[in-house]
Amino acid sequence: MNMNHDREKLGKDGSRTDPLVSLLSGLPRPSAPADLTRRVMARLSEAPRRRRRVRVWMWSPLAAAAAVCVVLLLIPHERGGGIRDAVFVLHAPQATRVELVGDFTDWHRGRLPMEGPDAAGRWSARVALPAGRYEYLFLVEDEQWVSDPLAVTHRPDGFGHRNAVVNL
Amino acid sequence: MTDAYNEEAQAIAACRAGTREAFAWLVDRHRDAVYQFAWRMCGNPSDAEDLAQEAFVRAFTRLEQYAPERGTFRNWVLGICANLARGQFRWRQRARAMTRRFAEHEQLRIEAVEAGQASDAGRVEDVSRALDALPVSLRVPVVLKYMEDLSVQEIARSLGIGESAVKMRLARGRERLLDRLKPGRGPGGER
Repeated sequence: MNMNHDREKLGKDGSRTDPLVSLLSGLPRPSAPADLTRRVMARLSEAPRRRRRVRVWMWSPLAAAAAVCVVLLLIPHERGGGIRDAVFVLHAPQATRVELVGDFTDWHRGRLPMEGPDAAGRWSARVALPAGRYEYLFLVEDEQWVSDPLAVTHRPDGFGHRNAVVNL
Repeated sequence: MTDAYNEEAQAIAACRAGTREAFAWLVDRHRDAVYQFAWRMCGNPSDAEDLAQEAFVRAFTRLEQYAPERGTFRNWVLGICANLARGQFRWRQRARAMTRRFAEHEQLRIEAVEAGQASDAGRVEDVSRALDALPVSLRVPVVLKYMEDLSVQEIARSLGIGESAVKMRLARGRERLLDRLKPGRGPGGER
């Protein structure tokens, strides 16, 4: 327990006034495994831009069927102030749910659901982004990660797959 | 500024300039804090190691986004760790929690006794169990505040949420935790 914190929580008579501090201060503070640093550094060498764990790449027949054909159209549009509108489009007529995940969502799911499919089977999402370089993927049916085969640039994730890269 | 602060700033600058070895220095410096926080998020050492590792890797890849004026490097990495715990690691926790819970708490209890960190190992187990029972959204601010000694402002910055939200979660987490640990409750807080 940090001493500064303890001082804040001590009463005039020197006794602890916050029962939560007393309770939590009794919990063990285990040291990190000795090889943690080595393992982190090994990861940096192998996967400098890894974003996800390898298991998310497991395909299911249902998801594979959902994304029969994948085509991305990225349409940047200058909005001013260095902000650009980018429209991401995925052709997946069989899919029932598609979302966009990338640097701009901090690789969190659920933040950029795409709209669709339209009559042509396209899903789309418009994102306003500062000019820069972004990696992204599509997530189909909450389980299939789909890269963009037509992206100008891809970046290996260190596990045999590639993130799509866009420069805005 | 302190020597430690300057040393850290130099290491970060070296990393940004492409010297990866400097990042090893930063990991060494903060690995215990990040690992301990990760353990509190996952509830077991195996996932904690994975989570801490992922947090450091993420920190390295996002180092350009780190702004010293908004908080310390340690707090920034803790925030990354918290966000990972709230996001992609959640499913792992759920999947493993049921099968590992007993063993993990037993291990925690033994370590507490061996380390002499608690006079009442049973109480440690109760506290640990009550903390683990909090939803991650409440556990994160509680641990950051009461175990990692971050201020409300620092927690808000680390998690990217407002101070009001932090205060609200702290209050709710605190209330639940103390309620579970009231005298007369059974192991794990059950009545």
